[in-house]
Amino acid sequence: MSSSKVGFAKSCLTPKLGVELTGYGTYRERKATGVDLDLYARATAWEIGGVRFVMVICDLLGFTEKLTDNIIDLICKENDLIRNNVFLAATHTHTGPATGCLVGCGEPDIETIRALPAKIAASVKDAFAAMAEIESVSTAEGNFPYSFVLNRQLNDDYRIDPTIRTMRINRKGAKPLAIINHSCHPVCEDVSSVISPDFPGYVCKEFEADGYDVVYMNGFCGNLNPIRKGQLGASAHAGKRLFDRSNELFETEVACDFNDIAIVGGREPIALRHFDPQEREGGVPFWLERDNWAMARSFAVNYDRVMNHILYSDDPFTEHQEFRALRMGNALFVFHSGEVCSPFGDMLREAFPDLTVFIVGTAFATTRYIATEKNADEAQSMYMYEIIDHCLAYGCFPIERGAGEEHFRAVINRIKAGI
Amino acid sequence: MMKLGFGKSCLTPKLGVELTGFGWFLNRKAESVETNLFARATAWDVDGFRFVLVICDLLGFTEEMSDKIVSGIAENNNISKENVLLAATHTHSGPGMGCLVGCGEPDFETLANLPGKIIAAADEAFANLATVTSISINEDEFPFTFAYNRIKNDDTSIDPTIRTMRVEREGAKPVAIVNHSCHPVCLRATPAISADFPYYFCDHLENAGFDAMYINGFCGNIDPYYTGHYGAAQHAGKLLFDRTMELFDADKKMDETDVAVVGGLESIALRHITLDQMEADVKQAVANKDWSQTRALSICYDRASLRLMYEDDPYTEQMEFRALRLGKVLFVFHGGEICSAFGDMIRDAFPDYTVFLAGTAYATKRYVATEKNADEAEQLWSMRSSVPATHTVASRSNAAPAKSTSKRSLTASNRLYNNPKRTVERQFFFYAPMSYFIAKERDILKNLLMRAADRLSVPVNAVTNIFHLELLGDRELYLENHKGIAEYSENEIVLRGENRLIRICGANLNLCAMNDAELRISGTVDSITFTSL
Repeated sequence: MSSSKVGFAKSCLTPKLGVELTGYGTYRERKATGVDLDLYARATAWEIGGVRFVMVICDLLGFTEKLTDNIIDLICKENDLIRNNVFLAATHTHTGPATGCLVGCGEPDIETIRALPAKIAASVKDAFAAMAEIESVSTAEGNFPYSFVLNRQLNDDYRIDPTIRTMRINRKGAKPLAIINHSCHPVCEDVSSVISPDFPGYVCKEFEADGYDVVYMNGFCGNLNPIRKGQLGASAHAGKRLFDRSNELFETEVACDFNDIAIVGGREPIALRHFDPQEREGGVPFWLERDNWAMARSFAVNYDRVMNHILYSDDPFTEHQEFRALRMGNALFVFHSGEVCSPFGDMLREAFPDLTVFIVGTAFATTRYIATEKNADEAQSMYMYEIIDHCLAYGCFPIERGAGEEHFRAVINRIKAGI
Repeated sequence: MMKLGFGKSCLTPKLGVELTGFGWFLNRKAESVETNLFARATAWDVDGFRFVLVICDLLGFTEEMSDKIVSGIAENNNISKENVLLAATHTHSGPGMGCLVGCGEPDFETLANLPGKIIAAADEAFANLATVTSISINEDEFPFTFAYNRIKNDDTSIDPTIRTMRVEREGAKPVAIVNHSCHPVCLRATPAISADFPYYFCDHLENAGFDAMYINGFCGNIDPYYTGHYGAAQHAGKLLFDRTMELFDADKKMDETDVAVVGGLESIALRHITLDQMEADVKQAVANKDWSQTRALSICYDRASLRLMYEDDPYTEQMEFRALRLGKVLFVFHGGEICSAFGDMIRDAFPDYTVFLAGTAYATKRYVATEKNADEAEQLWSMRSSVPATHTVASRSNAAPAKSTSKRSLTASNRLYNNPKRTVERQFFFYAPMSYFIAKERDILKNLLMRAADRLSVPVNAVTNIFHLELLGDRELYLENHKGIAEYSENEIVLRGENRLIRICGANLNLCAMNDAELRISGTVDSITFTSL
């Protein structure tokens, strides 16, 4: 049997100054004036039992469907991979360049976007070139008592992602590799005009200073925010907290049979609410009357997108969300598209009680929020309703009430059948 | 053996749908049906070679809709997609089709049903094939044309001729296929559904015993003189019919029946324009508090940015065409709202053929103008919009102040014409995402379907600044391109035109409205005389 190998590489994604940053609506013209920390694509390339696959995490808000396809196609072409073996996700930083996912929340810089696939693919190529034999893999999962995270749906039951998951890989002749997984919006920097990967960059910085190659995978954080949002040093503080707790968890980790792997993936439908686009058009005069051109513009573009979606889709009220799952011994990685709310992470963990489940959101194409019925109901009483339930910022239709739960049940069944 | 079948199906949408073709977000909803809209199909079988021409009373098609229709027709009738020639008449009184940004929001149900209805017309035509006994063709001038070149400073002509084909069939009505070029906008921005003059033209032919098909040519720069009322469409249809019947009387039998088809996509280069420029336009519109324009430009920006981000070659567009030769007749169907100079080019390239041109064929994604068209249109629009619709003439003569706006000043069209920012680029911009980017003539010439490299020069006729005069009975006179008023009284008004004095004599003459370019006079007109300066 051939040896199992993993390689790590990263490539810089930091855009030029002056590009618009994304994440906060609408039409704020938040142009980058400085760089706090560089943005990176961090790739781990694996070869286990002859199966080659790659996990790439980028310090970006997310990808459009086209951008996802462009990146994956290039990675597959350059490394002779099939699409199913490419795990791609974003950390969801709100202080990175606009990538075109959101309407009016930062206008994309064309040159930056067109350069992204090559930069991200370069990290994968380098990771494959830097593969080293795996000596051991271990995993841990434990709670996060001094979490920096809060449930931003304040009238929810305050549930956040309850644990941190870690994986540590020792390699022959190469640095140890750490993979850390937790869930929180990377918005410690708030509406800053400084480019930053936010706390995930600081977690990685801490680990790198400690001699690791590192990847931080952000989980289902649709409804989760940091407590110290906007405060000076909040990113560094959160990153340090995560680093410290991860190191504690390293002490409790168990061995993982890394040679036992299975991959399953594809798309599962999610039902969209039958939504009258006129409802969106109604937002135009509403905001116009209030002299709010930015919101009116946002509604106008939104209307145009949903109208075209209805006009040209064979089945406009069904969307297919992409997912990928990898089981490696007692660890399960689940990458899922969209800005997913944390209860779906709970669902996944409950469905696989014997596995340490690494949950990764904003994977592949980030086309919407995916909220539970409860999330949506509870968001109604606050501004989050427009954002989370109606997916206004994403220029798309809301999902049917309960469709998220149904969708994830189907995803879980697919994973169970495939691993 | 040759067979020809005819079919038509009604495309008239329900009342309440938004109509398309004029200005941004006018909310022009259909309140009545002035004429029905139809898809008309002629299906041909020439010694087993089957093809179909389908003309629809619509503004145009999006790429998706065009593909659906062409595929459906091809599949149902077991023919190649290449043998489906599809075009719209380009009526501006039909349902929003999704081609244009903000110029009538599409009704989803209407659009969902359209492909099926249009395919049905083609199916019906193939089901009713009858043996052809003779084909006669003709081409000649249209001396009393109702069309004018709306790019006034352009020295290219309008579409100079009418082309006719008359097909006699065994046991079935004769079929008339007629081709000319003019925007079907006689009704202007009314809330009535109408196929405009093409309907009345076909109606006259049908009453004369024909199955009728009107193919609209390259009319991007051509408008009808008579506009703003229902009678204008009827009048234009009748003029076209009368001239067609004259041409039928002199048409020549065509013995050749060999057939060939060529088609596909040809690229057209788009101008490089930055999103910063577009964003600056949005901001200007915001600053002007011009919401319609802000909204339209914002959508245009969004669509263009997505294209620039993800298209491999965002500055090249593929335009679909089809050319079908049947004996001495050449049918050329081309995508886009094309200016007439390109029709001249094609006709010049094929002097031995009677060339039937169809514009707004397949996907209508943009205007296709010559460089000259574009330059001069910009000048025209800025000139038109530089003065308000009503304008006192006191500073130019001793005439009485204006009392009313002209008939052209319908609410909707007013919004369009009085926009001080309007330039030809806005015309293109209706067709976002990338039609904001105007194609340059040299690129068009390079890529144009016929590649008639040795015939690229368009004949030039100097008609710059020539005046245009309309008379409504003896009650109202309209003059464009005037050079001012020389004399004014209730019984006589003398106007200056290019190299001419125009003397209008009558009773109770009154200058209703006037701006730098146009004026309107009411009263009783007894005579008009011209004197050289």
